Amino acid sequence: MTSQSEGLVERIQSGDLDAFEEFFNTYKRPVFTTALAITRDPFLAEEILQDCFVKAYRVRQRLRRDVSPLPWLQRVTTNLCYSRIARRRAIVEPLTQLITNLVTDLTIRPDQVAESREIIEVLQRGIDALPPKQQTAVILYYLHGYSLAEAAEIAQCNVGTMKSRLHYALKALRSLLPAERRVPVLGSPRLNDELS
Amino acid sequence: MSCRRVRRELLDHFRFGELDVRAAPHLDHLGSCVACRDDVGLDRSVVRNLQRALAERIANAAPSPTAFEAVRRRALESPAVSWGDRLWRWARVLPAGAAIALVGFAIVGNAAGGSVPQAAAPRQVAWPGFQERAPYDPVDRDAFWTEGYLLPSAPATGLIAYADVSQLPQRPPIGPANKGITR
Repeated sequence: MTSQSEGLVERIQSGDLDAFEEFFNTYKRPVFTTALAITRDPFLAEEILQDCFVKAYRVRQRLRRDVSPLPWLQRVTTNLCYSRIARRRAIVEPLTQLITNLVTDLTIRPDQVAESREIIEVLQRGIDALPPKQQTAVILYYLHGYSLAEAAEIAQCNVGTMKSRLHYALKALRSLLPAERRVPVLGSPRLNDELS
Repeated sequence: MSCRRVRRELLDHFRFGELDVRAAPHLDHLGSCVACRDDVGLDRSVVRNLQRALAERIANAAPSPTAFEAVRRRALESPAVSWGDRLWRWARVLPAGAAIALVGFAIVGNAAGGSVPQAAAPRQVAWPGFQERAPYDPVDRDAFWTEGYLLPSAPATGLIAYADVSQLPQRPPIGPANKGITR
């Protein structure tokens, strides 16, 4: 934590609105990207960004001056995201259906498969289908580039648990790719070739 | 070293940036095992594409320029207090209230215990009239007394006496001879 942000929190606690604006501008980007990465909805992400900073202002007297407020902001953001998503989650198209639709275009070599546009889409759906804790872990570690210790602090778990969440998330995402490669869909040119 | 162990350990090394000299045997194994090489390659490919997928989610997106104004306006509004918050506030105040009440009772109790017993003052009761009490023993006023409800306009009627007979120095006078009653 820099002395600059430490001073910021102190000034906010004394009611300095300019300091609050500086605080907002300092941390809005990571908060917004976390919200957007989870929700995939810019409008919802903006609402969550606002909610997060309004909450920060209202509880400003409880903010600690000796540590960075970013882990706290990220934690509030992820909690807000999942409470909103739970309220408005649409019925997601079953992942297997999506994979089936994509399977005809997939190639056999893993490196070629993984670099295809469709694989990115599969991964997007795969990320959406992850349990919230694993999704948060993936976003903190692979999107924001937080260390395991930092990600664990934000998620309020220990490093081993964070590793475990990442491990299971990758396992789930990995499992999508071989399944696509191994199980061609009926009517696909490749299967037809094999049958003839 | 088994393929299963190599994959499990090496994937952890790669995923969490923990690749060091301890991974040398694993890397040797990779050089001679195509299946493990493919497996590790697939994992790295998934991670690379996962990072691309996540980056796409936030590409070219930023909060609106008016975001802070909205935050500022809402932050300065008086916050809507939910029922949960209200209950929480009361719950936080309850122990303090209980403590104050206990201290108050203790002070009142001490004051009452340390003072000289006084004759009970006439008390207004729901029934028309007064409830009055007349002690017979001036030393031990609680040993024997007469108490009753008196009509405001009538002589004492319906007197009820409560007494511990073993403590009575003499039989109390009965009937209208009760002169100890005050109003």
